[in-house]
Amino acid sequence: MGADPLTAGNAIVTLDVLHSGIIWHWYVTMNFWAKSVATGVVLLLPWLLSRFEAPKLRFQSAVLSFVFINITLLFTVLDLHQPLRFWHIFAYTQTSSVIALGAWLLTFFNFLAVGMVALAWQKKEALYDKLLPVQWVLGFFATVYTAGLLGQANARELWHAPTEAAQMLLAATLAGSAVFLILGSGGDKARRPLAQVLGMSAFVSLTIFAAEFVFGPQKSEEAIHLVHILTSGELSTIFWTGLVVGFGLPIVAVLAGGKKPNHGLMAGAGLAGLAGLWLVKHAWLIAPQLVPLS
Amino acid sequence: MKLGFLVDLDLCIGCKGCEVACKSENNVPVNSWRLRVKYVDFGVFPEVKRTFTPMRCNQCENAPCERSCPVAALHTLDNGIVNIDKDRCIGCAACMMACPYGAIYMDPVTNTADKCTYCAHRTEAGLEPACVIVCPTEANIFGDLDDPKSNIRKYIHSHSDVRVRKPEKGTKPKHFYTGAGAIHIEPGAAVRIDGQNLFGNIGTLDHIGGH
Repeated sequence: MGADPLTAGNAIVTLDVLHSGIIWHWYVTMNFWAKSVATGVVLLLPWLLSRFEAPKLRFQSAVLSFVFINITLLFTVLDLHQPLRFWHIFAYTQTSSVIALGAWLLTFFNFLAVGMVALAWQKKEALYDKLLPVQWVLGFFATVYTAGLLGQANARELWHAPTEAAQMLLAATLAGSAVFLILGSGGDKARRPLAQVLGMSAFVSLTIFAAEFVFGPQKSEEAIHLVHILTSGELSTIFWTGLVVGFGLPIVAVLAGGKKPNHGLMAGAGLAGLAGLWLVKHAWLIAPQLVPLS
Repeated sequence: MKLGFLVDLDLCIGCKGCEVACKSENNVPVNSWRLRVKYVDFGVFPEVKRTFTPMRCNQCENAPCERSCPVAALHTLDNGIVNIDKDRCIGCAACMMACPYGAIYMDPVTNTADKCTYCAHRTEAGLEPACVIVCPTEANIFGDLDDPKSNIRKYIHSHSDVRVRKPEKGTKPKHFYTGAGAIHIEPGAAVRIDGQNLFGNIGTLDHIGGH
């Protein structure tokens, strides 16, 4: 420690209760991350089906969205201090709460995901394709509602960024393209377009982070402090590692892959994207909780 | 009726009697607080001063905790108190994320959110909150903000330095202070440094609850 704060004339808290610490911890990060995969594959599917004849895409997308939305729901319930009362959300829904609306959205999305798995398994493609726009709309709102949820956290200014919904959508397209690339979905023809989606999602997301953190003026002391925590403070290692691994590496890999990227390179880019996304979301979630509110 | 609180910080002596009375009255568990008194030291030696700031739920008129609660466990009573139904609470902590004052805690015994309710059980019976009764300097002033004859209303009208915490959040708090400077009520105005505290480190609570 440097100069004595008292002699420096600073005001110091000399007696207070313990800071409540991290309330929403990595379970919530898992919620954000898994939801990005679950909705990302659905958001990309109509575009992929319109360009490539790949029957397996329907089944893969349905299974991925089903598995990852249930991972999302599992961690959502586990994060509750009273998990056995989860049903209260449906019995006593408060419509002003974005969490409550999100719970209904994810539940409908999950029901539909089950149906889509069954339809894909039975190869009822016509009905599957009729239901896909409904699932796409649910997937879209399931992706962006989290921005509303964070917006209701009145105490945490960092989460109120106007670009939050855009970042959620980019996280979904990044995660969706990443898992498709890892699985080799759509075959060789789909690899390059999927790689472009991965690279562009990472690039735009990185640009938004840079614009907000590096170039954008921070309006409040709290925001300045939070940006410091993320960029050069106690979460900087997680945050920068996430940005380099999750956004930087996929961009480089996509550029290096050229016109005919190989599966190994793109699968690696996808894995890096998913790992980095988790780290960035985690740092984003934790940072505002480190600051005392009073 | 709109119940409110005012703390005259010029009268507060930092005895923490209110903190203890609150804990006792409401059976608040260890490591949890509905009401706390924060000490902040400032100045350059030998001109050093210590300030005391009691902090509790602001019973906001536009309560973000109430709005964000997915099961409506937090609800406003007719007298303006933001109350909590612990049997309905699912422990999602959305209210803790929404409250800009850090006034809500997760009860480690019941695993549900809890907070100051201005001793709703006492006010219902026509009594004053425990922290008001116990204050030796009558620094805690409690009453109906809608009643022109109430002590709190007269106090607000007779003092020009009435302030609330974080007015920019738009929560319309019903908890006021007189004699408050930035270091009393603005969290960024005073630093927290380990090893610079009266009776030990100001640390961080371990993760609360059953998971």
